[in-house]
Amino acid sequence: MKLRWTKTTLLLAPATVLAALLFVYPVFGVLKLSVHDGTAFTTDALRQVYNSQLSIIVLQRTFVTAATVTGICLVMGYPMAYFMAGLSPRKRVLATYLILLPFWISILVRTYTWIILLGREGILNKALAALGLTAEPVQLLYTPMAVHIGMVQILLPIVILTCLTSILDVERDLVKAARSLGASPRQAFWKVVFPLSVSGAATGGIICFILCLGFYVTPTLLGGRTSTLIANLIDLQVHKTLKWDLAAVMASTLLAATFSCLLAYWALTRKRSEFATGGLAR
Amino acid sequence: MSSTGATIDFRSVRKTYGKFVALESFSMHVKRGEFMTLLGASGSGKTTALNALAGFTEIDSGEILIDGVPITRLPTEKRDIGMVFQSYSLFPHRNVIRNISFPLEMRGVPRAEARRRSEKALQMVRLDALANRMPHELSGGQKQRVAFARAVVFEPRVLLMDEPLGALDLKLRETLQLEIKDYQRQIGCTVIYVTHDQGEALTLSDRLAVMDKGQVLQIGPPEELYDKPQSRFVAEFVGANNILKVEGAEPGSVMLEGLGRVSGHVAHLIAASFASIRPELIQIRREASGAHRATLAEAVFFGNSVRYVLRAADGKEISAIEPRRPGQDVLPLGTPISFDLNVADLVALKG
Ligand SMILES: Nc1ncnc2c1ncn2[C@@H]1O[C@H](COP(=O)(O)OP(=O)(O)O)[C@@H](O)[C@H]1O
Ligand SMILES: [Mg+2]
Repeated sequence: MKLRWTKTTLLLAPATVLAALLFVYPVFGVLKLSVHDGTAFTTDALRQVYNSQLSIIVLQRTFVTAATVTGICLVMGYPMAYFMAGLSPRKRVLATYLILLPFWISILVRTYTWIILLGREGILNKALAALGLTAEPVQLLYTPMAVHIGMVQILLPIVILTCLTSILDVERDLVKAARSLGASPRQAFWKVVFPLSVSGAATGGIICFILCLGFYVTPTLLGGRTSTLIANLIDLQVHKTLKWDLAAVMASTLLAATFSCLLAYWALTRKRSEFATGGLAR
Repeated sequence: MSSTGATIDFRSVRKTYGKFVALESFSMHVKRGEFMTLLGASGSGKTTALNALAGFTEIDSGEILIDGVPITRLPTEKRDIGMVFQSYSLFPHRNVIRNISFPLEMRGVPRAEARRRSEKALQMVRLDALANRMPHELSGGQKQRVAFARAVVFEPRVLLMDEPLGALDLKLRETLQLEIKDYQRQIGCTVIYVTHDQGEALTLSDRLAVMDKGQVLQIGPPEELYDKPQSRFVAEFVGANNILKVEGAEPGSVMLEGLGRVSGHVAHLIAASFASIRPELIQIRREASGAHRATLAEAVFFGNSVRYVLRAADGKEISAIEPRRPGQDVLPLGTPISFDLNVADLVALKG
C-alpha cells in the first residue's frame, strides 16, 4: 500500500513540477500583478479597469458573444449528434471523421477561409450579385456576425462530439422500453433521451463557453472595431500600451469566470455519474 | 389489476438480416391468458420473434395478429404490449413510482388515478416501501420487480419478457419464477416468455415452444415436451436424456446403441433414427439379473438421488438416476451391474 503510494507520487511528480513551474507560478504572477504594483498592494489597476467604459463593454461583449456562440453550437450540435447516434456504427465513424476533418487544418487557415468567403470580393457577395439580389457588395466581413460564424465553425465539432457521447450513453433498451410502454418516438425522446443526455450536452456547452472566452485569432481577423473581445484587449495592453497591470486584471477576471464554469461543470458531471453508476448511494 | 389476455398468432413469419435468416416460417398460436415460453439456445431467434411482435423489428414476410387483428403496420406504442427486458431498463432519472406511472402518463391518465394505480402495482410486487427510491438504489431483484410492475400497470393484453431473470443469481431466480407465475395468474394477461434455461421453461409455462435456427421445432405443454420429444434436438435440450442410435430394425425387434437387440413393443422405433430414454426410467440392478450388462463409470451424489453413468457392453455411456434411501451406499466405480428399462418408455426421434 505504502509502496503504491510512493510510486504514484513519483509518477505524478514530473507533471506536477512542470504544471507548477509553467502554469501555477505564472498564474499567481498574473494574479499578483493585478493587485500589487511592485512595492505595495493596490486597487488602482482594478479600479481603472472597472471604471473604464471600454473594458466593461468589451468584457460584456465577450460574455454575450461566448453565450451566443455556445447557444448556437448547442442548438445546431445536439440535433446533429442525435442524428449521428441513430446511424449504423460504420456510418457514425465516417461522420465522426468528417466532423473532425477541420481539426487537421490550423485555426488560422480556417479563419482566413472565411475572409475568402465573406469578403467584399468574396464568393458569397459575388453569388448574391450574380443572382441580382444585391446591387453592391454587402458588408459581411469585419462584423460581429463574421466573428460568430467563425467561432461556431471552430467550436461546433467539440459540441457535437460531447453531445454524441452523452446521447450514446443512454441505453438503447430504455428507448425500446419507453416505446413499448406507450411513448411515441417524440415522447420517448423528450421523456427519456433528452433528460438523460441534457447534462452531458450542458458540459459540452460549458467547455465551449470557456473556449469562447479566450478567443483571439477569430475576432482579430474577422471582427471589426465593434467586435473586439477581451483577449484582444489584453493583447493591446500587453503589446501596445504596455499596461501590464490592467492586462493582469482582465486576465484574472477571465480566470475567475473560467473557474466558475469549471465548478458548474464539476457539479454537472458529478450528478451524471451518480445516475450512471449509482454514485454516492452505493 | 386485471386484463383479458389476447390471442397471438405468428403466421409464417420470416426475418432476415442481410443473408442471415433469423426467423424462418415461424408460426405459433398463443391462447388467451396463456403462459407461452420460447425456449432456445442463444442466437436461435427468440428475441427477434419478440421484437417482431413488439414492433421493434420489421418482418420480411408473414403476418402477426393480436386478437385476430394484423398488427404489423401498427407502431410499437399502439400495440398495447408490456415488455420486460433482461437489462431491467428502468428510467434512471425517475424514481420507482414515476417509473411505474410512466405508461399511464403516456396514456393521459389523470395524475391522481395514475398514482393510485401505480401504488397498487407496486403493492402487488411488495415494494410499497421503496416508492421514492431511485433505480440505482435497488438490488437486481427489486429492479426486475419494478420493471414487471411497470409493464403490467396499464393492463396490457400481452406481456413479453425477454430473459428477465438472466442477470440474477440462481436462488433469486427461483423465487422470482414463482412470483412471476403467481402475478400472471392474478392479472390474466397473455404472456410470451423467453429463456434459454429449460428448467425455467418447464417450471413456468402452460406451453413452450422449442426454437432452433429461427424455427419452432416442437410446441406443447411441458409434460408433453418432456415425455414425447419428437426430435433429437428437443430430446437433448429439454431435461437430461439418453440418446441411443437405432442401428438396425426388423419386425419385432430393433438394434439399439448401448442396449443391443431389444424386442417387445418396438413398433414405434422401427422407422426412427434415434431413441431416447430419461435417466430416471432406467433401473439399476445390483446383481446380474437385469437384461443389459454394464459397468459403473461415474457416480454423482445428490442426497436424495444418485446419478450413475453406466458403460454398456458396446462402450456407450448411459446415465441413470436412482432415488436413494437413507443409509444406502453409493456403488463404487467399476462395479459390474446390470440394468432394465421398459421398452415402451423408449421415445422415437427424428434425426
Ligand atoms: N440487428 C441485427 N443485425 C444482424 N443480425 C442480427 C441482428 N439482430 C439479431 N441478429 C442475429 O439474429 C440471430 C438471432 O438473434 P436473437 O433473436 O437475438 O437470438 P436469441 O434472442 O434467441 O439469442 C443471431 O444470430 C443474431 O446474431
Ligand atoms: Mg435474446
